[in-house]
Amino acid sequence: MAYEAYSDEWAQAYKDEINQSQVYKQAAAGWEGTVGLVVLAEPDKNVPDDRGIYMDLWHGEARDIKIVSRDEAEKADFVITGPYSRWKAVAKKELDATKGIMLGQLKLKGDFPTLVRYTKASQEMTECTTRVPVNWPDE
Amino acid sequence: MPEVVLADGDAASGLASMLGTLLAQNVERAPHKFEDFRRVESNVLIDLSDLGEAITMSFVGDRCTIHNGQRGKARVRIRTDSETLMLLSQLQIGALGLPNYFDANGKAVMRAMSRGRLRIGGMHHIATLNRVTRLFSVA
Repeated sequence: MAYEAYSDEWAQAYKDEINQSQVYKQAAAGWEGTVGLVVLAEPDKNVPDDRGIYMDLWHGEARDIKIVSRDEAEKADFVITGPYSRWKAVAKKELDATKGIMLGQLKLKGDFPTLVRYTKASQEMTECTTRVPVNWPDE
Repeated sequence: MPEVVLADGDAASGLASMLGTLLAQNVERAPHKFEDFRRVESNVLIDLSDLGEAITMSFVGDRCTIHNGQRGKARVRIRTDSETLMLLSQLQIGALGLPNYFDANGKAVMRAMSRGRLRIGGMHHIATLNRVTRLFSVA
């Protein structure tokens, strides 16, 4: 079953996928903090408004993942921002999130040393995204 | 207080922004790194082959200016890929302030070097190389 991109159902499926991942559990064992993903609108791709994803991550577990407003997502400890098409490329494994940040295609706000320490966890979170089937609004 | 400046301002590349923020936050969080910062006193090039991105970090006293691309003559030149750069940032600093190449992460860095994924020019400037390694280490 495919989920509408960035819907509540998608958020739940993504949370389940993370919590099933032993790789994530190990790699993020010491992680404490919230992560906000901001998906910037691209009206020509049927994404008329900015959206936010708020992730409450704690010691290798996703305690909550929910769809929120951009403002809410920006309140997280770490915030990664990018246009819809970039996030879609990440979810389709066409763009590695870390490389996206190095290329300036995604913007990161937060404590970089902490994030670098958890590179493996962030890579696994991306892997989890790719395992959730999605109906993309521009396809 | 050491200062990190992006020479290209708003036009700074993603790599320059990311490593500039990482360096500034790392030194702020670990004030004992101030001395390393001040004593680099040279240009350091980081060239990422997989992204086609390079930056030059110009350390002069309390200031590090980060330029997009290659600028001037660099005493230490690190040519690698984005994945290996993340490994380098996670090197543990062991006894006598030397990077630990004997744990899993250190061995991965050595493997990258033996396979040509990490090439370091100016290795004979070992003190500079070790200082830069310590400055970027988040471990």
